[in-house]
Amino acid sequence: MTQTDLQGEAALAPPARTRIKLPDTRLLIGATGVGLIVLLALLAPLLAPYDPNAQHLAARLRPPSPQYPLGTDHLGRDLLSRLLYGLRPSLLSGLAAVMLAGVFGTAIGVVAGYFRGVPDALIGRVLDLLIAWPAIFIALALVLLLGPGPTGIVIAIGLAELPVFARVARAVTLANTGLLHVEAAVSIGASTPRIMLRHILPFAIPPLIVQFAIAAPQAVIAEASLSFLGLGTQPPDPSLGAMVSNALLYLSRSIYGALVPIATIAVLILCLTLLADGLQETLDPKRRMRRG
Amino acid sequence: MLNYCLSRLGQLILMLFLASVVIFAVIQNTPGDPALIRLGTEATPEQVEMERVRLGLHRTLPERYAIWLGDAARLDFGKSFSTGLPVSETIADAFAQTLKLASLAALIGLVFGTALGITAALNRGRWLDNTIAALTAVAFSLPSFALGTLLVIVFAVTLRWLPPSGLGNSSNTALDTLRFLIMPAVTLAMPFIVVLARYVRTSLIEALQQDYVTTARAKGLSRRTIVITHALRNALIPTVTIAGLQIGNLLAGATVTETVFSYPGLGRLIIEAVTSLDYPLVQGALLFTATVFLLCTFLVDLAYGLIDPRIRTAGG
Repeated sequence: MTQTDLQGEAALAPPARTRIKLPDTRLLIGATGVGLIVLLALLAPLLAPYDPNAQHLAARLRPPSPQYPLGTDHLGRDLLSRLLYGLRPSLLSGLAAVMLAGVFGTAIGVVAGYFRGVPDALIGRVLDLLIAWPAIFIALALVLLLGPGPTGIVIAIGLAELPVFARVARAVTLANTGLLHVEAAVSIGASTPRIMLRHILPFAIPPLIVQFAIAAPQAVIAEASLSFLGLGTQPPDPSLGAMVSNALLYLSRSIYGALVPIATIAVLILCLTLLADGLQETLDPKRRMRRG
Repeated sequence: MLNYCLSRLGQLILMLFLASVVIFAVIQNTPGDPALIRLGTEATPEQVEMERVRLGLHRTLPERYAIWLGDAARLDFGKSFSTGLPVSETIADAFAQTLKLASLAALIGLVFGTALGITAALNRGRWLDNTIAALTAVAFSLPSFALGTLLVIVFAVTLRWLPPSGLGNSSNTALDTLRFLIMPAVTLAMPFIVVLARYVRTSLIEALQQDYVTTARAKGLSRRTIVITHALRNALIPTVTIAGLQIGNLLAGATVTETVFSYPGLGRLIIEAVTSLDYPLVQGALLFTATVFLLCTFLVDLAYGLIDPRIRTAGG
């Protein structure tokens, strides 16, 4: 893709106003899907027909039936109820991890980009150290320190996602510190934190929202995988990953215990990814043009 | 080139040192007194004190770190709490299995990733390209444990073509071993296939737009010759890095896949050691895996420096 190509396309494209008329289809589908899933998780106490941890030992590994709409697991627990409640740790841990990465990553990135020089180089080196490892190592180290459970894996996933946020925030800050409005703010004696918050951060918001949307499905996958390994949500409480690992041993007798959470994870990830793609398309004009 | 190698080597040593410090620190700060864990809660304070001396816990932290590192350098990680076997032997056995699995996965990934990428690039914008893009997007959004479990449901439980898990026994023929390996290898290879396919597609499309391709076409060379000898060769250079990094991930990141298939490799060993608080095994396995991963990254950097002179002159 050359520079002239870009200009040519831009010249041919209709004026910007008409282009943002309708939200991207992927954005609509993704947002609706994610919204519905969040709603299901929120309404779990109302929708779940049973206590998710209640064992019906006479009805183990049942296929779907009117009594148990999605079947039961190896302890006779209702899969629909466990699914609804199991969505909560996946969504909550995923959200918490991305928030953690977003807030701290942005702060670090803005500081690095604003001060440049030594702080920038130092921060860069530390972030390099963080991404030199497969994320699973960080997760294992935290599980060893804090014991298995949501706290450790939220921090681990957050740390794994943090460098990208820092990089985005740093790039935007670098691009804006030299601009006239920042210079004006400095000259009238605005404090550094105020300049960062009021004059630089607003420019970083759109790319950070996109990054947030990209990180979300990754965080949900990571949470589900760590719970599958037994490092996240602890039994008997349900989580999507742990439901699959429980069902794995009983696959020859019933596949529903595995199929139900897997299908849910797949739909959730798909919706989150569509949402991210749609947001990226809507908020990043350069990308919209490139696709054209 | 020598400068480049030395600077990369320096980085490698620094990272190894950091990894060892972190692993040591983590194990030191785990909840619970190792002496108490070994003796049980019934032990008298005197017995606990003696056990602490025996384990070397009365020394200062830097002393203990130096002793630990010295032992580790001689591959002596002590004995596993749970099996009583030397940690180094346990790791060596598990690593041999992971190596087998990762090699097959790397082969599958390279072949299918490159093939899909080339197919997509040559059919750019047509239905085949779109289908490949859609398929790789779906494969990418499915976590390994979900993909692995689905494979088990289809090929082991429903069709009964393949064994669901494990590695069989030592009397296996090569074909039997392959039957045990194929599902975990495909699961492990999937992210690799997707990443590689996308990368090869992009760089081949880029290469096909270069002037030398136009020249070759003007000379009247066949499309096949142009693609294979002109475009592909250049397109594959950046792919080497991606492939190398992914191979490091295959070796270090097989935890989930090995757990799905109860495959007795390094990844599952680490998870079991962590969940059963088998600290000597955790230390040894983590240090070993980190070293292997860092060595892979190091070799990829060197290979890349060899292939692309710009990298090594960039002051890296």
